[in-house]
Amino acid sequence: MLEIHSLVSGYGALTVLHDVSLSIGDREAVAIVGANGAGKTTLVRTICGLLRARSGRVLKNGVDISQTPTHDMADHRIAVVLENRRLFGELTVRENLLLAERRGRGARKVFDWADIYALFPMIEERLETPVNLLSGGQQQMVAIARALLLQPNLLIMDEPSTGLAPKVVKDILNVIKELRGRGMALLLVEQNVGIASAITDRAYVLALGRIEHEIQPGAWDTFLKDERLVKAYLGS
Amino acid sequence: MMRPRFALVLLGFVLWAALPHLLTRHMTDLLVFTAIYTVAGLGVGLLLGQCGIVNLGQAAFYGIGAYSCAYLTVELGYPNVTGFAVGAAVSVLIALVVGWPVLRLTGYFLALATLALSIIASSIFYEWDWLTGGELGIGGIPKLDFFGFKLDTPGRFYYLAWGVAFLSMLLVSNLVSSRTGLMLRGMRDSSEATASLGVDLQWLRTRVFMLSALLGSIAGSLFAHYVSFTSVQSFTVDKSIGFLLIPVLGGVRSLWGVVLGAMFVTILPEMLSQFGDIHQILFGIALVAVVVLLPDGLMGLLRQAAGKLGWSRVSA
Repeated sequence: MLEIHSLVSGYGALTVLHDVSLSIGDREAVAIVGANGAGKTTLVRTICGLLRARSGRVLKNGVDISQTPTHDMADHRIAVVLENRRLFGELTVRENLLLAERRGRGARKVFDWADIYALFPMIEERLETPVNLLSGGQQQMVAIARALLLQPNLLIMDEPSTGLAPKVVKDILNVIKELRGRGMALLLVEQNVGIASAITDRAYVLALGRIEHEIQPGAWDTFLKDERLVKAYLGS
Repeated sequence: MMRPRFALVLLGFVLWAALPHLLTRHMTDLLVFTAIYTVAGLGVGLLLGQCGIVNLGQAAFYGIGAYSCAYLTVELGYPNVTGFAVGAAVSVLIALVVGWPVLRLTGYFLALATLALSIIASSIFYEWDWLTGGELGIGGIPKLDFFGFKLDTPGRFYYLAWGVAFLSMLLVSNLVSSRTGLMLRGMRDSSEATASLGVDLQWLRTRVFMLSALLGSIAGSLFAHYVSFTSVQSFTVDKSIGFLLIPVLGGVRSLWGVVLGAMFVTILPEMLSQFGDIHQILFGIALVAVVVLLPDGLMGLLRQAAGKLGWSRVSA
C-alpha cells in the first residue's frame, strides 16, 4: 500500500527527518508514535506533498509519489486529516464536504453521502451549520468525513484526538474501527500511545527524526508495560 | 401585494433608468466612466478580496481591450464586435501565460510582478506605433450601435456601460457563490487544507487572474468606443493604481462596494476640481481618510449606517 524508503525532509536549513523508512500493507493500520518535536507532523506533511522531500522515495502501490503535488494525492487514493482539523470555519458542514466531493466525483465511489450519514449521524443533522459553531468532536468528525469523500484507500490522520474529551475520542475510535472493517488502510500519527494501541496493529516509534523502534503486531502490550522504553521514546 | 424588497429593487431600477434624463450631460458622462471602471475594478477586487492578490497590472488589459478595438475597427475596418472579442481573447491568453509562472509568488513580490506587467505594457503601447499609433494614438473609433440604435451620446452609452457592469457583477456574484467560490473561500481560510482536498491552488489563482483580465479588457473596449480615441496616457501605471483603489476604497468583498469605489475615483476628483489647484491634494486627503477611517471601505460605512437605522442588512 505505502512504502517509504530513506526519507529525508525538513524546513530550510533544518533537517527534521533523517533516513526514515517504513511500510504499510493493504488494509493495515499503522501508528507513528513519538514525543513532541519527534518529526511526526513533518512526516505527514512530506508524505502528502505539503513539504518536498530532500531525498528518499514514497511509493503508493508501487508508484513514486514523492514529487506529486498535494492536490493530486486523491488520484492515488490518499486522503489526509491534517493536525488541528483545518476545517473551513465560516463554511457550513455541507460546504466543507462539497469541496472534497468535487474530486471524488467520477472516481471509484466507496463513500457516498449516505455512508457518511451512517457513519456520522450528527452530520446529517448539522449540514447547514457553520463549522465554527460545532464542538471539537463534531469538527473532527466533519474533518474525517471530508477526507472520506476523496474516496481514499489510505487515510492519514495527524493527532485526531488532540483536545477532545475521552468520551468523544471513543466515538471517533469507533468510527475508525468501522472504517478498518471496510478495509481502509490507516496511518495514524499520535502522541497518545493508549489511543494508538487501541486501533492499530503495529507502530513505529519516531524520535528526533529517526525510526528508533518498531512495535510488532501483538507487541503493543509489552511495549506499554516497559516503562523504560515508553519513557525513553515518549518522554512520559 | 409587492414584497418590500422587490419594490425597492424596482424603484432602484426606475431611478437608474431615469438618471441620464435628470442629470447634466457632464454628470452622465462621469457615470459612464463609473460603469466602465466598475467592470475593470471588479476583476481587481475579485483577486484582492478572494485571493489576497494585489494586482497592479490591470491597465495592461484595459489597454489591450482598447487598442484591439481601435486597431481592428479603424485600421482594418472590422466590425466593432471583433475588437471586443480579440481584445478579450488576447488578454485572457496573456493572463494565462504571465499568470501561470508569476502567481507562484506571493505578497509584495507578486504585487511587484504585476506592476512590472503594467510598466512593460505601457512601454509597448508607446513603442509599437504601427499597432497603437504611439504617442499620437488612434482616433476616429466608430461609435457602437445596438441594432441600429447609435450609442453616440453619454445618455445612450450609459445604458450599455451599466448593462455590462451589472452583467459583470452578476457573473462575479455567481462565481463567488459557486463551487469555485467555495474553493476560493477555502483557500483564504487554509490553503493547505484546500490543496489536500484536491484543489490545484495555482490553477485556481490563474483562472481568477484570467477572469480579471477579461473584465479589464472589456472595460478597455468600452472605453475606446466611448471616447473614440485611444492614447498611451490612458493605460499607464497610474491607471493600474486607480483600478486597485476602486475595491480598496469600496470594500474588497462587496460588489456594490466596487461601484462606490468606482464613483469615488471618477466623480470625486471632478467635484473637487472646482477648488482649483489644490484639488489633487484634497483628493489625496480624501483617499487617505477613507483608507484609514474605513477599514471595510465605503460599503462598510454604508452597512454601519444601515445597521443604525435598524435595517437588518444591506444586500451586497
